[in-house]
Amino acid sequence: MPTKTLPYHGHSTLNLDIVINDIQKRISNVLIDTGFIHSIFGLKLPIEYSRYAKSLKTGPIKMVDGKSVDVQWIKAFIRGVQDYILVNQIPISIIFMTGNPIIGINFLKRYKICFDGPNNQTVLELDT
Amino acid sequence: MPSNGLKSRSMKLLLVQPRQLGTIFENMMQFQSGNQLVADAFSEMAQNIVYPIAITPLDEFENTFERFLTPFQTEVTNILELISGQKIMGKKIHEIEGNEFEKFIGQFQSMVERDSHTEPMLRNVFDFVVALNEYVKVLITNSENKPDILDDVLAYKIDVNDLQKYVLGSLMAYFCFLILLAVSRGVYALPSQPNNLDVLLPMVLSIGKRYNDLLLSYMKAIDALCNRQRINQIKPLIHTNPKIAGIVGRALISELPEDYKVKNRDRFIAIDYGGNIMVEADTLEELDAELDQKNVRIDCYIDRLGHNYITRLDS
Repeated sequence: MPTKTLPYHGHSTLNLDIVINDIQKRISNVLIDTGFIHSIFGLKLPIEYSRYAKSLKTGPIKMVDGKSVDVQWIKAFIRGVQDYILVNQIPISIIFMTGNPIIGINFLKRYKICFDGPNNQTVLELDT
Repeated sequence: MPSNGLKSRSMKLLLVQPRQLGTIFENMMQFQSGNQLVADAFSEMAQNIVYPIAITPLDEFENTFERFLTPFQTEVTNILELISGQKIMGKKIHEIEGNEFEKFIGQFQSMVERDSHTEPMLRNVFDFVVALNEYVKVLITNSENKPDILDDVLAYKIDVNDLQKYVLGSLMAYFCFLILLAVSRGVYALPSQPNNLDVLLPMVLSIGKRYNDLLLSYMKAIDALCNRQRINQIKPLIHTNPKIAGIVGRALISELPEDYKVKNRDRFIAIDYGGNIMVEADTLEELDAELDQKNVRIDCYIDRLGHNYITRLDS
């Protein structure tokens, strides 16, 4: 089974190959965030990436600070992780917001992931 | 309220050729000395905005700009009131027909385009004038005998605070820009000179441009909502700007028949920007899945009837 070992220093990041409306993009330094849990959204990307989307859904979403903001999202696919091409592309809803890229539980829950603090590494088992 | 030629003078400033920029700032300073209110505002800005710019790290500045703006809200509101009472081409603004004002802007644009030596900054100043013009048009249309666009703004739940912020941001950024430019050309002296003017000028200019873009986007959205046939024209804007998509989407939702909204209260609906309902569902997940299943390839707005938001994002 393909295993990817990532450095861990309080957090880990990975590189993702995604497909938005038939356009392939490599996203670097995507933060692994097990606190990003949502029934629809699985990947958060900077707003600039929305330009690759041919059509977008927009709606008001309540944020942690209580404010309601209009955000846009789209269904896309994760094609690969850390240079490994997944057996099946994984559908994922990308929400476009300011800030760094974040991958959440919607994607991570499909795999085994182990944060090994003492050894400063994170091990991700893909396509198990 | 004093009301001597701010608008006519500021317009005159912008009509000067780029090589006469020195004259622009001499005029600006002359005008400054002729109006205590504006003089105070300029002076305050120079002291309290330009210096923080000079000591704030570049990447942080844009985010903190709005904090510097807040204390000047009153001054800028006063300046805007002055502007709306000033004379351009011998007439007060509210006496000028829309096409005359457009003609004036057009003349300026063609002058900018004709002059091969035009500096990019002058183009940005021109964008600023256009944005301000749009704002002033709202003020004009708000007069007693014309349709009240501001009512429409409120009806469509456009955030007037945002609108004010963008006007304020545009004005302040360009006032700062003008002050810095005047300092760099040696026609105006600050009590202590910022030592990184070469860096500050493009930064302030880019901030001004950002606020202009936001202001113009808002104005285009208001215009499209008041003239529905123009919604098609702003579809690219809807696609790239979630705030505008939200404004237009909410306006379209608010116009759905009342009995439909009552009957479907708490349900989720997706509409396109022509106002057509595409999908209805009891949960956001169902709605999202159905849109994907239908392979919908146009932009749509999603709302939960009777609610201010469709979901929460806690991380």
